[in-house]
Amino acid sequence: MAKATVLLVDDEVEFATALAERMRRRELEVDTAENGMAALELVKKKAYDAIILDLAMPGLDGLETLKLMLQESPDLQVILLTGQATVEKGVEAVKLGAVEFLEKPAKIELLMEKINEAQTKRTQLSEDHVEDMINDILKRKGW
Amino acid sequence: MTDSPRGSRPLSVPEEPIAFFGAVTAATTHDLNNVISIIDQTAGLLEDLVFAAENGSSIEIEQLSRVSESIQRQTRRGIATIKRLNRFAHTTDEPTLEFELNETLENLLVLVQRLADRREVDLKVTPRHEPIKLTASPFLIQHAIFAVYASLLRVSEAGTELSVSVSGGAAAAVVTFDLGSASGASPDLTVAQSLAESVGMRLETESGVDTLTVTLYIENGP
Repeated sequence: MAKATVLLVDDEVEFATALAERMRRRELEVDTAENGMAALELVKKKAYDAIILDLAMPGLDGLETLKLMLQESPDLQVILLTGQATVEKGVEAVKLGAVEFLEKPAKIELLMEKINEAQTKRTQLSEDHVEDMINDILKRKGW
Repeated sequence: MTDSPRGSRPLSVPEEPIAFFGAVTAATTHDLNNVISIIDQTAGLLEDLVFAAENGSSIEIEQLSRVSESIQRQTRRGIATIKRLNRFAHTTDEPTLEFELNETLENLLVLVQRLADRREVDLKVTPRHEPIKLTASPFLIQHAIFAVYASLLRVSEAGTELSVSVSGGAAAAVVTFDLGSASGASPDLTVAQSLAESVGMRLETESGVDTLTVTLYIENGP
């Protein structure tokens, strides 16, 4: 499988810098964003296999960012990583379409596992879309 | 009382003292969790560098130095936050005691600054140069101050400045909140008013074209 592409969104710059460096050392391609608006801009320009998103941020918070990201790209695999991990927030995040809700501090091994799962799911969804498109063309042509 | 001025971020104006204590503790421990998470990832990066070195890669001294500085910086941040939280917790020690208003106010507002940060409100605190010693319940006075702070944040717009200043003297102190521009909605100061009155403070509001000023007058105790 190709190198996974990850967007890490966190307003704690030192956290994002250290975690991004650790992920790059594990052969991931990582971009970082300090806030929801910057993250949305990046999502419009690049297809990421996984988004690691903080919940409490200035401006757009994690849940608002999640909503807007999924409006832009419904197949995005968004993992919420937060210090505010309450059951209510977790349920809300999953209802909105997050694939995981993890608590800070999180082990790098766990994050890597979730990113790999996200990449597999993302690849599968892309393949499904291609298959749907082909089936649609075949159907329209009557083949 | 809960409001959600921007999306999914509620901000409560706590009526009960225990809820106020909870609000301050929640904001502070969230910050401490961030500090620990940074140290955790940075220490993990250090471990990765050691692992790489054991497997033949060279270690860049500059990178090691950056990692070490980050850990030290975050440790200092964590210690400062814990000291402030400890100072806040001790304001409940006695129903009435002598305390210095500038120090108490600044300590509280630093602890809850993240509430302003999340709303992209620029909080500025201007203490009075000379100390103002009051004899009262520092905890209940902070509760009233926090109620004004939270009420104003609920109607603040992103990019607004909220300035808090202290003036007055030994007989009576004055805490003034100036909000650069409100969202158009008037803040609901019912809880703040009631809390202020319960500790003998007077609360006044004054609206300008684009500004809002809330003043708390604190009479000094016997």
